[in-house]
Amino acid sequence: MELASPARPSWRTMEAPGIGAPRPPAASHVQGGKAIHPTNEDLRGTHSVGRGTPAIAPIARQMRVEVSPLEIDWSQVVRRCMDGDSGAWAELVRTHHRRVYGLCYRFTGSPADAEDLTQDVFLKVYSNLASFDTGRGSLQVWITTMTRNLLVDNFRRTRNQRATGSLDEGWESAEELKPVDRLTAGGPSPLESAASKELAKMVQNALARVSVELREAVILRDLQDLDYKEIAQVLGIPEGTVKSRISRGRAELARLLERNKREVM
Amino acid sequence: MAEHTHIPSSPACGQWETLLADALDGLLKPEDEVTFAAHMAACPACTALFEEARRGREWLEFLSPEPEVPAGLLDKILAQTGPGQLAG
Repeated sequence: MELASPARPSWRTMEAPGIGAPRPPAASHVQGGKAIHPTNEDLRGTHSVGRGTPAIAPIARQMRVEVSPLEIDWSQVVRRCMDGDSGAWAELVRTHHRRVYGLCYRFTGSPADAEDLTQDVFLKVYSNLASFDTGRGSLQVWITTMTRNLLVDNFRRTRNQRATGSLDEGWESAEELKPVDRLTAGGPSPLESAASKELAKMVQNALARVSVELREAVILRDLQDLDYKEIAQVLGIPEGTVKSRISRGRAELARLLERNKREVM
Repeated sequence: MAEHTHIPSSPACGQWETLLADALDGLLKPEDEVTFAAHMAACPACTALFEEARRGREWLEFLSPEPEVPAGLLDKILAQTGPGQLAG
């Protein structure tokens, strides 16, 4: 069973999924006979939705914490924007541009494309403010829908020009670390941080190769933290289809990364 | 080992697959837990999909830090859009 037991890398402190959990070195708790590492939410003491079946761990979701757009009455802000209030527009952009950039960057894998696309999104948002309707979803879902549509249009337009980066980059750099450097205990050393960044680059490269309809579902769920209902609204598909695309997308990502790993080793 | 994602072909696999995301996200309803576990125990292909999806989800944790927004992007957006600007 190659996939169930992927090749173990020669380094230990930055372990990858299927090999060990890439989480902070803290006490694990045991659930259903398997060790489950605590999530960042556990560590912060704000327990996540947690009625998982045995052997299934909740995931760390750092991105959920930052903005709390729900506390603001966005329909008011939108109305003020339409009334010519530049402060309201600045507030709206300031609150939402990071998420939009994040979605564009994760989808395209290109900082330059993400920057251009983010600007396009806000041009589109501004010129369509009058069509925002709270009855049909939150402002965040509305902006995400516009972003996603723009990304898909852009993908279709540029699909023949894209050059894909090497999936090997992350592994090659990570393998350069000497074993003695990987045995440090405690918090992440500069080398571990470097390895983590390289792994992130590798995962990002692989993500950009996941089929578009699976990729968008996975990004919206695992990196943008939307719930299934919101994703169904954004993509205009039933929730059951959303769930199946998320699972298939996650699986495709693991397969891409682990196949590449086998080829590199 | 198959190089492609297992696509459920039986109705039981299809039903199981819609529960997979819930299960990995810790959202599986108690009443679905037995169905989910029973099918997985009997279906090697779904077990393989479970493992791949679980690892894929863990890989994605490397991307949990929000990408850094380029300096000046906010200003660029505000220079192009908003009241007083020519939008669209």
